[in-house]
Amino acid sequence: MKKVLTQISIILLVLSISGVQSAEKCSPDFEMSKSSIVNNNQNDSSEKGEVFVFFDQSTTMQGFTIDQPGQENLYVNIVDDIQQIAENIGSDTIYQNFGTEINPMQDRDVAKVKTKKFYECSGSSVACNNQSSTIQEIFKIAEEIPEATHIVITHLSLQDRQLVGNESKQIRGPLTSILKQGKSIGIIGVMNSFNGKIDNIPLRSGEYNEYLDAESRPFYILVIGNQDNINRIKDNIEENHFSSNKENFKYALITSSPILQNLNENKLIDENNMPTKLAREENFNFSYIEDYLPVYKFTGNKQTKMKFKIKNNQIVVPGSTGVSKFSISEKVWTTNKTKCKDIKGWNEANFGPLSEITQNNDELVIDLFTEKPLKKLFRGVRYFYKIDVFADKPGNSSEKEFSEWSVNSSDIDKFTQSNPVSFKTLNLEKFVSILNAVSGDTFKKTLIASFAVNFNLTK
Amino acid sequence: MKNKILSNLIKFLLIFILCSSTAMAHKSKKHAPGSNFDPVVCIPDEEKNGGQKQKDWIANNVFHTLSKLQEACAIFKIQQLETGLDEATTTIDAITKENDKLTQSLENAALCSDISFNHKSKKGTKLFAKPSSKSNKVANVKSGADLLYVSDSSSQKKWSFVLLKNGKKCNPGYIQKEFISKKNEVIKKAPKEVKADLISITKPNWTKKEKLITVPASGFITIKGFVDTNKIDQIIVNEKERQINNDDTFSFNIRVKDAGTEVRIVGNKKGQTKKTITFLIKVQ
Repeated sequence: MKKVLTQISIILLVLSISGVQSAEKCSPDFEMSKSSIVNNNQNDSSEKGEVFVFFDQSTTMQGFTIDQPGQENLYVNIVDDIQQIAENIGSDTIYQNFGTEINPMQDRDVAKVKTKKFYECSGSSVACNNQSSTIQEIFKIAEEIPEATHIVITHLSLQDRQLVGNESKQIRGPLTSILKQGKSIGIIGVMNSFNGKIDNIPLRSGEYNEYLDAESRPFYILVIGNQDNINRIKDNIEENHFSSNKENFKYALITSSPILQNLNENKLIDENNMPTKLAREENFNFSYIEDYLPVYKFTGNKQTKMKFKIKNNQIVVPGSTGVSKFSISEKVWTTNKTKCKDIKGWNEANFGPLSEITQNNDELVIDLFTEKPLKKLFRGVRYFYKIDVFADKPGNSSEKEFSEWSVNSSDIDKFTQSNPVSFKTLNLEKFVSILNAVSGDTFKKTLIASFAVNFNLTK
Repeated sequence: MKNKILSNLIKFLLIFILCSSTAMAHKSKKHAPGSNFDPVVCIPDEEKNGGQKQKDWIANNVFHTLSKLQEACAIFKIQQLETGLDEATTTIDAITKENDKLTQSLENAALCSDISFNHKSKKGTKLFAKPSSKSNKVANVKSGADLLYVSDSSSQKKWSFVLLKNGKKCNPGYIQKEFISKKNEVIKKAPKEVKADLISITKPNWTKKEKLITVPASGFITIKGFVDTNKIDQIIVNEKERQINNDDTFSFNIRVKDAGTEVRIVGNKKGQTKKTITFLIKVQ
C-alpha cells in the first residue's frame, strides 16, 4: 500500500514540477486574436435543397444551338450536364425560362432547350424585337429563396440601363443580401460556336444594331448558392470539356469573403513558413501556444533573416476576387532575462512598425525587422514579437479574368465594324465589377494568421 | 274704202311678218352647232389683207369702235373660252369621281399610323420586292425613315422584311439589314379597356377573372399588370410593396407550387385601400 502511495506521490510531484515549468514566463500574457471567418464552403443542412434552373430564352441564344463549321459546339452537351448535375445536387429541380419575363417550364420543354425551336419567339414582332434578359429578376428570386441553388444559363449581354440607377439597385440589393447570408455566385464562361444573330447592339445614336457574322461567342452559367454546389458544377464542366485546354473556359467566384481559412485554426503554420536557415539557429524550437499560436523560438543575432511566407492558395478562395490589401498588427514584449526560467515578467515595448508585408502572384511575404533592423535593437535582451496578419480589402482578379471577353457599350460599335469572328459580351466587365463591388461592401477585415518569434538577441 | 282695205292689208302683212319672222330663218349645215348662224371666222392680224387692215384702222381711230373683223375675233375667243370651260368642267367632274373612288378604296385599306415603328433606316436606300437588290424596287427609303421590322428573310439572312412608313400608309418590302437600326424600346401604353379597372392583370390570362389563373407547370412566373395611377399610387403584393412604372405597369415574380399559390394584391391611394384582388394560381 505504501509503495502505491509513494508512486502516486512521485507522479503528483512530477506533475506539479511540470506545472511550475509551464508557469515559467517564457511568453508574455496577451489575449489571443481569433478569426471571424465564416466558412462559405459548407452546406448548412445535410439535406439537399431545391435547385432552380433558368434558361435564357431570348432569340439570340438560338445561335448556340446551330453548329458553325470549324467551331466546337459545347452548348448542347453543357446544358445536358447542367440538367444532370441539377438533378443530382437538388432534392427537387424546377425549370424556368426567362427573357423579358419568367415562365415555368413543363418537363417536355426542358428537353427542347438544346434545340433551335425553343428560342423561337412566338410573340408579336415588336415584342420579339424588344427582348432583354432580366437577370436582376433572378437575383431577386435568389434573395427570396437563399437556401436553394439557382443556375442561370445566359448570353449575359447587358445594356447600360441595366447596370445603372434603379435597375442596378435591383442587382446590388439582392446580391448584398445573398452574400451576407454566406452564399456565393459562381460565373462560368464558355466560349462556344455561334451561328445566329447578335441583337441589341447599342449605337451611339441611341439605336440598336444587329450582327450576323460571329462564329463564336461566350455563354455563361451563373450559379448562386453555396460554394460546394458551385464548385461541383464548375468542376464537372471543367473536367468534362476543358481538361486539356482551358482557353475557352473562364471562372470567377464572388463571395462575401475571398478568404479560404484562418491558418491558426487548422494549425497550418509550421517551420517551413520561415526560411530553413532559421531552423539552424541556436536553440531553435517551434511549438504552438494554446494549440493556436505558432512560436519560433531561437537565439539570434543581427544577421538573422526572418521572412515568413504564406502560399496564396492556402488563404484565398480559388477563382475568387482575391485580396488586394493585407496588413499586419505587431506587438513586442522584452525582458532582460534571456533564459525562460529566469523571467519574472515581460515589458511591452513600442518600437513602431518593425516589419513589412508584400504580396506576389504565389505568396504573401512578411519580411520581419525590415522597418527596424535587428542591429538597431538592444542586444542581450529577449524579445517576444507577435504578428497578426489581416486581409484588408478584396481584389478584382475576377474582373481581369473576364475582361478579355468583354466590350463596353462605348466601344461595341467600333468593335462590330471590325467584323469580328469571335464576338464579345456587352458590359461583362461592368457586371462583374458590380458583383465585386457588392462583395467588397460585405467584406470585413479578416484575421488570416498569427505567429510569434521569441528570440534572444545576442551580441 | 280703198284706203281702209289698204290699211288693213298693211296691218295684216305687218302682223304676218312679225309672227313669221322666226320661220323666216333657214337652217344650214354651215351653221355653228346649236345656232342659226355661220360660225364666226376670226382672221388673225397677220393674215389680213390691206383693205381689211384699213377698215380696222378706220373703225378704231375714226369711230373708236371695233371693226367687224375684230368683233368676229372677239366673239370667236369668247366661244373658244366657253368650249374650254365646258371641257375643264367635264375633266374636273371625272377627276372628282376618280378621287372619290380612290378615297373609298383608301378608307377600306388598313392604316399604318397607329403602329409603333420600332426601327429606322440608317442610310438612304431602296425597298425591294424580294430579298435581292436585283428585284423590283418598291420605294426609296430616306435616311431615318420609320420602319416596322416584321421578320428576317428565311432564305437570305442579310435581308429583313419591313413596312416602310409612307404617311398614313405603309409600303411592304425587303431591305438589307445593314441599313436598319432598332429604335429605343417602345413603351406600350395601357389599352383603354384595361385602364377602366383600378388594377388589371394583363399576363398571364385569367382562367376566371380576378379568381383563378392556371399555369402549365410549377415554378416562378412573372405576373404583369396595369394600375389606374389616378386612383392608385401604391401596389402591395403578398405584403410586399412593388414598383409602379412610369407607364402605369407593374410586375412581380411569384413561385407557383404544385399545390397552387394564393396572391393578394392591394392597391392604395394615399395610404387608403382602394382595391384588393385575391386570386389563386394553380398548376394545370
